[in-house]
Amino acid sequence: MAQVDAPAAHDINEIRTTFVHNLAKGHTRENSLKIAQATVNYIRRIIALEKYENIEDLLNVLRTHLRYSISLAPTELVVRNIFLIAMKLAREENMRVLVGVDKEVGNPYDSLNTLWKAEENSANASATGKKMRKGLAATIKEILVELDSSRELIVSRAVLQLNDTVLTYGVSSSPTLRFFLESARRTIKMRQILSVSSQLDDHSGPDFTSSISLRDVAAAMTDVTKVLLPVSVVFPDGSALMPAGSLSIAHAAARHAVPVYGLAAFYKIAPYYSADAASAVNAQAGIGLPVKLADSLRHRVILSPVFDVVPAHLLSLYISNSGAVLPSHMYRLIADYYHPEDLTEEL
Amino acid sequence: MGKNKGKSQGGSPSANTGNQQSPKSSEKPKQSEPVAAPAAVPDAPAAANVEQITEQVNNLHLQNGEEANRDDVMAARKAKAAAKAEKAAKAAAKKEADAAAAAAKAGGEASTAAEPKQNNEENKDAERGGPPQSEMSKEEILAARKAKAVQQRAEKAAKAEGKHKQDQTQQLGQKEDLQSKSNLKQASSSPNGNEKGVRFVAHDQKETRDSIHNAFKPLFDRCESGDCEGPDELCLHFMECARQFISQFTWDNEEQLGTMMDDSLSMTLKAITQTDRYPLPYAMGNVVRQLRKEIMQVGRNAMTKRHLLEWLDDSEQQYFSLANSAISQHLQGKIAAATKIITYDWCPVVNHVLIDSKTKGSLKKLTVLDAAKNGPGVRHLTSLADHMGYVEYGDLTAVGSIFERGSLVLLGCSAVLSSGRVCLPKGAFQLSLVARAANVPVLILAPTYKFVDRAQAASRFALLGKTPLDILPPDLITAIVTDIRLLPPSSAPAVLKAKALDDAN
Repeated sequence: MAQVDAPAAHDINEIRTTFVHNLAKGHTRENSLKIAQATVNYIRRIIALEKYENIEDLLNVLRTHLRYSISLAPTELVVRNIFLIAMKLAREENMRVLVGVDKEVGNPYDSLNTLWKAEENSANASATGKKMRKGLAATIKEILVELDSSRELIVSRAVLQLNDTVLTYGVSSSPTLRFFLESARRTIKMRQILSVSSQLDDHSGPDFTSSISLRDVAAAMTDVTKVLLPVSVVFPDGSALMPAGSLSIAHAAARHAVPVYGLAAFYKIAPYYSADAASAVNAQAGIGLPVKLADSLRHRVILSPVFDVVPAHLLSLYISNSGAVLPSHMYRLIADYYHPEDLTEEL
Repeated sequence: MGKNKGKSQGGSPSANTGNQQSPKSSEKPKQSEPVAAPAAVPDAPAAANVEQITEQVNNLHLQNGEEANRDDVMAARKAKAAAKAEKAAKAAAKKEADAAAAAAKAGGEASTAAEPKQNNEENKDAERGGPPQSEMSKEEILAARKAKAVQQRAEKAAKAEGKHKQDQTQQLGQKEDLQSKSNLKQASSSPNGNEKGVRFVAHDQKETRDSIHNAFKPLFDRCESGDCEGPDELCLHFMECARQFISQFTWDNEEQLGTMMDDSLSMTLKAITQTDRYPLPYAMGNVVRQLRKEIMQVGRNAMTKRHLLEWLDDSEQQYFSLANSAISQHLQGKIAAATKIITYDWCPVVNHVLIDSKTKGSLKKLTVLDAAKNGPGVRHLTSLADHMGYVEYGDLTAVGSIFERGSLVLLGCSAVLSSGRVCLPKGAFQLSLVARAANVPVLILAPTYKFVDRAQAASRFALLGKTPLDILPPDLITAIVTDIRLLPPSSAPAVLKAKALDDAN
């Protein structure tokens, strides 16, 4: 690993502490896009401030920061995804510096024969850190642009049709879902949009939706033609982490043969399964209970999970920024965003 | 016309033959249908129809298991039917008159041979004050005739009954009964239908309350204030009120005591259900039906009020404490084998089983869920405060993370329908769906008095109003635990038969 001098290390440590603190401080979870943007900015600072001589050093620096972050915020899989995407981009930048911009960089998912020959040519060469830094900063910035445009791209994949009765969940906490519905409404006159709330008599959903509570979902499902759910993380097997309560909605939809769509931008596609996030709990679980219960509840556990793991067979389609993807085809997208060598060690 | 002949009513064949000789133009086969002439044979068919309509009305109102063989109820129903039928007849007459005018205008091409006879018939009708026969459809004529007959009968009955009731109220001095009867009188004295009198019991809450017997007023008030938690509490409170009612009720003639008591109870139930507009809550309907059956026995077979009160005490013990103990006993083995018990919302039966199993040491871990935090399920936590070690509590969003190896779901219910479907608090459907996906058995705890002989659920009940219920289909239910034994949902009709809760009883 690169030797970092004191002032630089001090700075980056401060940045790292602030980043991790921001992840953990919120009583309610920030939306994934904001977490992703914060992570990209954090990586940009790492690339700018840390010292590294070659690609191996850079990857080690990134890995160290990643380990630190996910040890303190193990449930934020988006952070890990962005780091791994950045590591792939770093590897590509290295190859670009070595072989030139015009020449084609070898695909790590090529056949073994192709990879063997490519390896001979490059002979484990590495560009200097100085050369990489500039190019990499520009490439990482592109992730930000892609993140910004992902919402519009998802919106353009219209799955809603005339006379659809749509049931959604977690609209208030998912700006992507809200944006999607607002845009869809501009072009398509849907019959009704039901916004499910986990609270009784909660009408905090957007004006154009009618609010129902989670307990009414099974009864309302008879009229629903499509279910739209926000996705926090998609696993390679097609299952997904969704806001708590989504599992029962997905089961109710499956019972009535209603298709379930998940909105998942590219940075939500996790390269491997991780059980950590499923155990995330809301820090404010006890809020809303009367004070007089404090005595009887002293030794009790208040259940308040943040996520549900919804299995792939309950989902019909993912709407990603690159297109609509079947849950069973989700693993194909991993090659687009991650380098196989970064996935060998589970972080 | 041969076709029409085949359709003619059996009650008036002689009248039909006369009409068949005067066929109208062929484009109006319905209008020229054979019609009974009420003037020719006024009594016999009318009487038959009155019997018919009374039976229909009775069937209509028997939904809550009320036995409608009391005179006052009959009179009230007849008056209502009469009012309705006459209104219909008037409307029909007006319609027919319009149609006749139109037909006369356009009917220049109608066969000239048939015309004189037809006019003759119409004139006859006009003399009788009825609508032109050949212009009316069969149903309308029948309705008019029924209306006339029923109205006459109802007026007679109401008169007699009013007198009878007046005597009774004088003796009882019960204001609420007076109120009901004044409504009743109003109804029967103004059967023309378009006035206020058609409504037997005003739907205004204050008037409804006045119509209820004093003994049942606390129950009504409790439900009005929204204080009633569920069907179990409601049944218990009803039995308490019934005890008061029976104790307070006095009547000179011991033989008529049962009938009079039932009449008075019937009035109260009528006010509560807004004249059968809303059904009684399932389990309570069963209790009411059985109570009325017993009440009718008072004064006969040496049955006295004391016996009735004893029966009430016995039933309460049987429906609640004994049934709960039996259910708890059936479940102890299963609870001991389960690593975790999951329940949803509040149910006193489930609570009894949990406390019982905790004191016996078989309950290891408990999870209570509610539709939203701080819901009725909190009562489980407070009641188990001294008994429990490890308890989890959460809302419906936690449903995905509570199931683990060896879990068991125990759910209380409002009713078990004859189709094997179960009425549960809203949200239990989703819990059961996820439980099935997690291979966790779902047991429904239902004392036998909660089995009702209905295939369809009501959405609104008397007293409880609109209750948010889920109907759980049998495929999501592993078993129903009753005080008899553990049963599959498909055995619901067998329980109804065994406990004489079916409609035949």
